[in-house]
Amino acid sequence: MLWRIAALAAGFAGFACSGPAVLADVPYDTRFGDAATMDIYIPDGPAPAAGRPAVMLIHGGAWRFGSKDDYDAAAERLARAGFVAATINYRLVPAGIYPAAVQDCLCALSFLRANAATYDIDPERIAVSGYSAGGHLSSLIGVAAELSIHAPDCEWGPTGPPAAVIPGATSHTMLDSQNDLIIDFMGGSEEDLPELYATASPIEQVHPGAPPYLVIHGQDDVVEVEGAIAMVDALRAAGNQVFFLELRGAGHVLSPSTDSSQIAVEAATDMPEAWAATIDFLDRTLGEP
Amino acid sequence: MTRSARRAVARVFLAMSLALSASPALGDEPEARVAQPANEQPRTAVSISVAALSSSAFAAEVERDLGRRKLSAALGIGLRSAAMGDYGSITIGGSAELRRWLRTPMRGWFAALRLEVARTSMEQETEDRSIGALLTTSLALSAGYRFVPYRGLQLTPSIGAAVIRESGLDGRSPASTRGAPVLGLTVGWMF
Repeated sequence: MLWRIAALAAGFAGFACSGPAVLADVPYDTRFGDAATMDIYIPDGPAPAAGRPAVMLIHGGAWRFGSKDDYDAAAERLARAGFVAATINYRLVPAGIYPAAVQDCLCALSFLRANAATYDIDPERIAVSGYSAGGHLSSLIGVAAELSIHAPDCEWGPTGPPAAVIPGATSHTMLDSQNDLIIDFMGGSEEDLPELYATASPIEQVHPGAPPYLVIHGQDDVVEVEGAIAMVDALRAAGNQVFFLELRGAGHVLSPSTDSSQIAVEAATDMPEAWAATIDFLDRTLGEP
Repeated sequence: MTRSARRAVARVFLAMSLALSASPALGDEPEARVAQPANEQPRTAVSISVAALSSSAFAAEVERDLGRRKLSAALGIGLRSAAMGDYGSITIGGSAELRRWLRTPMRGWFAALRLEVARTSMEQETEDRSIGALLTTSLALSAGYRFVPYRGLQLTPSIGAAVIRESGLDGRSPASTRGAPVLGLTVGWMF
């Protein structure tokens, strides 16, 4: 009996055993040590001559916590779908006070483009995705990569916006907030830094010609869904392509299990509905790998 | 959820309830069924998930005391439609759970092993097209406590850890296995 149980468990876990090649702790800005590294997941098999589409993943954690490891499972899953996936570290508060964290994300994107041939990436087909604080950073570099305040001064230099953006569970604005986490990230209050609060707010930077967005948000998220809806409306009003996935019953870190009888402690973007929408969106905007 | 889907779920649940309630408990001796004491412990429980109700979904289970080794078995079904905005989805799931009660069958502390299988199909509604379906299999080990505050009324919170595997049935969503803590809360009636 025991060996049968062991075999069943091994079979269940075995689905995760074979996977893409992982290049761990690749530095994209040597000035900041581990805070400016990324893990790159490369799909099995030969790459097309033009390179593969890629997704850069930006972790959450209130700009203060978390690491690239938070996105290990998502990166592996994307690589299994044929995308090169890069999950990045960036400087956290206090070292990462705005605009440093944004500059790091753009430096990482610039690194991937400059070294696209090394990792079999098509530099024109790199999307950016993030959750919570990472959702804010991804949303911001989608519409404000070319603002001078966001230009990284790293070896790889400034770069343009990603080819597609998937922000999850974020508010898309820093304005009118008394949240201490936002004040810490901004390095001061809105009253003291009104211009910085505007440049750090994705919704304030929306313009025609932004890359396609897939905005994902849980209906019961503590970060209110109205902020995501406002961003979707602003992007649409400016003539941009945007899709909106609202997940009924999903919170910031609590999501209903698939048979709905339990609640799983995980991000809304881990729900199967979010994955189906994400892969479809990437295929349509970047092209199938 | 459409009216026909609700009816289908209700029919399946009713059939499961009748089947489990009508069947003799595994391991029962014939004599035991003939001579039942008047104050016999409840041996069947019907529950709905509070978590599901909070997310506009529906999940229900029927549980039967197996009559040996303080074991009970539960079968459940669930239905949800989580995707909104530019998308729509329907998820249909079923679960089987084996519970080992610490002292008294069907009440108090228990440990459980739960297997859940669900199918989620997803549409992009703005373009009226399917974007794939996924099969989710979850194996969870959990512990919980059943309160029986009044007659047969029972409230059962639980906490555990699940290994969740998802795979694409159609569309391009790749397979994935991950772990996650899980919480549960059901309310129902025992008889």
